[in-house]
Amino acid sequence: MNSLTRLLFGEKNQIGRRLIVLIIAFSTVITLFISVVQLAFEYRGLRKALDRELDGIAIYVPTIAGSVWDFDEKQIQRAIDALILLPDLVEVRVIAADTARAWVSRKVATPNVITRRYALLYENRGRVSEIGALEVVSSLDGIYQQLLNSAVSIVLSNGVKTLLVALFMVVLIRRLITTRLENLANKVHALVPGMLPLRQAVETHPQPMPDTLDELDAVEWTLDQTAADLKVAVAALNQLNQDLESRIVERTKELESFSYSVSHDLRTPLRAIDGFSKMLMEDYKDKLDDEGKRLLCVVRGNTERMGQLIDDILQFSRLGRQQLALAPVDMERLVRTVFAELQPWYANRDVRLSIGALPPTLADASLLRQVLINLLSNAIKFTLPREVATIEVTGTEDGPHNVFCVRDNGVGFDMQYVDKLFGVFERLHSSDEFEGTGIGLAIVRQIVVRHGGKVWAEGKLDNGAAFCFTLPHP
Amino acid sequence: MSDATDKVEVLLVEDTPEDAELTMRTLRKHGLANNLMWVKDGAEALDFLFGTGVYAGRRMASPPRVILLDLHLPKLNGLDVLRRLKADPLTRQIPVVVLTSSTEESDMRVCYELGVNSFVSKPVEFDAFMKVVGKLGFYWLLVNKQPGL
Repeated sequence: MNSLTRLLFGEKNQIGRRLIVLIIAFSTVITLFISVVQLAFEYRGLRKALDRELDGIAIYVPTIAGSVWDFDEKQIQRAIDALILLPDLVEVRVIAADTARAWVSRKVATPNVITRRYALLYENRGRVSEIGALEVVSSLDGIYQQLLNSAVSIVLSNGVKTLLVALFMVVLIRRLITTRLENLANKVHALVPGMLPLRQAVETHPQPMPDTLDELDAVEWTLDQTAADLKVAVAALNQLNQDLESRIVERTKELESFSYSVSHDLRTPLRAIDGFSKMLMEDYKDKLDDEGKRLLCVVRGNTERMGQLIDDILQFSRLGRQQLALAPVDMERLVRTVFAELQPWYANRDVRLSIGALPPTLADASLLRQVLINLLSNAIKFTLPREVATIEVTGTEDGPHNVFCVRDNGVGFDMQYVDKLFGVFERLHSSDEFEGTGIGLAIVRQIVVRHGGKVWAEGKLDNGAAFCFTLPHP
Repeated sequence: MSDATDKVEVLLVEDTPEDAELTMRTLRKHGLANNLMWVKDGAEALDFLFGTGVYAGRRMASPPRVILLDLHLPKLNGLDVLRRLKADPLTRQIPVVVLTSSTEESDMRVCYELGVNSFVSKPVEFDAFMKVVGKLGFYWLLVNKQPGL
């Protein structure tokens, strides 16, 4: 029984219980009302049938009247003995008017009866006179019995029906609504503490849900709890954000002081290495043989290279925190200027630049200049083996962005390394082949990304390369 | 104090002996290091300029024609020295050239706010360094005019 109720109502199912009580109560009232009306109609029907039955007795009245006129007592008795056999009749009386003589035939008496009186008329020489009366007493017990039976069957069938419908509805509601409400309440209840940082979760330990709540109350209760929890969570998050913010400020300061140290502390010994090598070279020229001089040159060459690396690291780290000063930039002019400034790098070579119609763009001019310096100097560098180097700069509008590409006919690269191109200090060539620290394209990407654009490269080994980037319209 | 400290033309404030040596060698090569004084930290620089501490009683007839000031110094750093010099009417007119390894814009900005006369980054490469220091010495000692000289 216990498991059955659990199956029907679930562990608690307060709404289900309440519902079943309400349904049964309401349904009972309705059933009662309908039953009363139904029984009233039935009673009327049964009474009419009884009346018709009694009306039928009228056909015996002339015969009995004759017998009374003739004073044929035997005949009278036979007639009423026959009449008493009719169903529902409990007493039949014949009363003679003049003599007040009465003949009676009766069955067991009952309290609920109706009496019908028939006048016994006799016609003598055109004159009709009342010579007596036939009185028939009919019992209502049969009718009452039938009504009782009807009532019992109505109540029984309606009761069973109501109960079944109520149970069905409860199961249905449990299936469709309350189970889900319970799950919802539980989920919401578990939601916030799970998201809170550990410290906060301990402070706002989840309260157990009171048992007296029904499912909807539970959802409401849970929502209230959740709202309170959320307040705590939001406050915690805000605090966390502030902490983070101050930590970022702190870290940025650390980073700045780190760059400062790098720029100062690493350069100083490097300058000493370079300077003292040079001094050695100058002051002890006579005592050094060619190999000694070569070794010193290697020392100085590497010092220079390390100096370049430090500069690159610093430039790269500065890019991240530099504010963007966005303004419309005349790309064509900028490309020409930068290319002209790079002239010393291709002084004795045949390098041909072609510039397409470049749309104006929105950018930080000094940073964009750096992008073009890096891309164009790369193009100049990697076309060194070509007798005629061609560099092509194109620009097209593409939706909200401009796409710019710098193409060259240089040594290109293997597309399988394309992902490495834009990494910091990633190089696809040895220093013997082409100089460089490997920071140029990383800087290009950093700048373009800070402008909300993207960079990509296409190339083929020994067959040129193209570096493209997007920038917003002005 | 000897006469040498009285007619100092270049005051080099530099904590790194190697950098100091390289600077002095360069100036010497250009014949500009005859009256050069090298101090190793900010406190000593101020002592020298104001005639205090170990330099107490120094005759301060003529101030240096230029101060080459490193920023990254022990005790009192270059910015503090610069601030003191430019705040004092006695030393305000002495040209100060910050000669530093730093290429930070923030350093540059602060120096100019404090009234530095020139800000020069030391190149790592010695040849470039020699050129820069040579030009500096040439400009401040030979080209630049100052009152009272």
